[in-house]
Amino acid sequence: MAQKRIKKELQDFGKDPPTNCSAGPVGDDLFHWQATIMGPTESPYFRGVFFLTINFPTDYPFKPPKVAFTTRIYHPNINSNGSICLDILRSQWSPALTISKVLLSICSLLTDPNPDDPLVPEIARMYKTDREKYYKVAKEWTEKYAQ
Amino acid sequence: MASNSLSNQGLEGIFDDHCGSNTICFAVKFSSNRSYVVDISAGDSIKDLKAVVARKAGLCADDIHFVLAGQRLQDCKSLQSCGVGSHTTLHAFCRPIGNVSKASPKTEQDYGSDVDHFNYNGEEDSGICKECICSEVNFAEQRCSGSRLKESQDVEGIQDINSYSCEMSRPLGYNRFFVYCKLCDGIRPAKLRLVCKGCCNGAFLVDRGPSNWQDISSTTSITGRCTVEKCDCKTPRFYLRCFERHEGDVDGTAVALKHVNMNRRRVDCIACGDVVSPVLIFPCEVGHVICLACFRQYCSVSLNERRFTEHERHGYTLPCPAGCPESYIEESHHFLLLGKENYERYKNFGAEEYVLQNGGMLCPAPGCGMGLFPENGTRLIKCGECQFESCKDCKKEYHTGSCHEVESIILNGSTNIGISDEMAQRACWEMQSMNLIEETTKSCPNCRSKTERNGGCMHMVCSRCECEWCWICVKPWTRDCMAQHWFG
Repeated sequence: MAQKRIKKELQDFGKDPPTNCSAGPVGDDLFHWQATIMGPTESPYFRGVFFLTINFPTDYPFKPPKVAFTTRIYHPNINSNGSICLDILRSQWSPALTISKVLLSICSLLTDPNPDDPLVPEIARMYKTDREKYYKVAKEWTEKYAQ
Repeated sequence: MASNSLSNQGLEGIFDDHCGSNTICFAVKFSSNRSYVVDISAGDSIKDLKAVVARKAGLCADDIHFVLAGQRLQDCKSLQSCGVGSHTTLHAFCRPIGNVSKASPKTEQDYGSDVDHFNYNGEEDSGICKECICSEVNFAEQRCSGSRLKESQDVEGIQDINSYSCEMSRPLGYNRFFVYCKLCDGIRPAKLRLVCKGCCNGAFLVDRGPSNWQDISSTTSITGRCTVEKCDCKTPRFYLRCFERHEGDVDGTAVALKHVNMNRRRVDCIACGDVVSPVLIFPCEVGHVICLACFRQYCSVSLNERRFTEHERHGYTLPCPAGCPESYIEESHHFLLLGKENYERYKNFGAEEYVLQNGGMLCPAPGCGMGLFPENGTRLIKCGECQFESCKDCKKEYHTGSCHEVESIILNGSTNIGISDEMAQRACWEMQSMNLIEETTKSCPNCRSKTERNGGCMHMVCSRCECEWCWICVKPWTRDCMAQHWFG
């Protein structure tokens, strides 16, 4: 079941890839993908290339895929392990969602962080109180780790 | 699956050999319980059938009337056009023609006399069409007309329909009803039938055809009349039966699965993306579609995580996986698709959930779990099933003193009470397992359920009472927990 669905997602992804994203299996293992996201223009992550790992559980799509950044990123909702705080990857997951939609949501999270539901409180605090500084640090990290 | 399709081929074979290609053989049953097996050409008219039955039964042909699915069949119609095929049971009653009109509130013409009377208005979701009513056995046969014909052809084009047909053991054409058949132990296409609610006679004439599920429920507003002379019952009882031929009494062996339908619009499964048929359509506004294999997995994953919800009207159930509002499965028999073992678990979980939601508790004795409703004002709960006496507050064996003191005594194992060696040994055995549980779990601050954390963040959601709590504080989850130790 999961395999069939993942294959279909891979086909659909190939046919109509979301802008600024790419994804595909690592080697022969359909359940383990690697994805890249190009930093969105309207963000301090612009010109950065961010790598992510995607692991599909065996009962996918009834359980959400495990998605994490492997490239370091300075963001209120992404911690140093690369864990992403995104509702659709946890409680709001639905089998109607796809990897393509998840990557698009992550892209919009990069443009619009959610400081009210932070994973890294210090970054959230900075984002709220000193937006310029946040922008600067995030840009530095992008240059340092993602280029 | 294999044996089913084999036995089916066998059955078809027997009937083909016996009846020849155009001949159909079926039973005609009178309300007096006399029945006759008739071999007749499918193209013959109802009048021809009357002559054959009259000869067999020694009656006057003009006095015999046939009823199929609540409708009287008109003389000039052919058996085929009325939907009579092999395996059909045609109900009959015998009454001089004059009496029929007199006893009836309507004339023969008013009845329309065959299934054309059923008001199918072209909106498939609004109800039950005449094809379904008369689709007795020959599902592959396209006897629908006009736009319906096109749709039934579409059905045959659906990918995987053939593989599913193997499971169904007979080729599928257009079929609107599905049941879970306890005799086949699986999901099967079904046929809608009706009898008199009072005397169970099959020759019951309805005033109008059903057009929705309410019409065929036990509180139907449809009326009619029974052809048994002494019966003055005016209400029909509709039922669905498995399309497979089962010998003997089949009453109550098939349960209707109202959300299962043919995938005539070729909609993708919400989970695997395949286009298969039949499918389950959730009652949400947009009608999300899931294939039966994915539905099974969805239920099984949700059952393991206790994500079913106790719904006030629909019982222990699941919503559409996309989380649409008002999308709960409305009939618990759909969960029979989980398989016997998981269905038993489903029923147990459902009963537990009901007890817990209604202020009850479950007996904490290992292996018992009986639902108990404690009386107000007492901490001592005695299980009527296993006689175990427990404390309502800490859900452990009943004790005097506060729950906290008792917990520390048990954990330290330091009792000075003189007990026999045998008892000490037994206590030791349980102590080990209790210690292990104590080491690896924490109790939900609300319902005290022992909870194990196998990864993820510190934000716990109790799978039993849905309380959101913090693994570190063992208290309800707060924004401080989120800010200070969300990830440990």
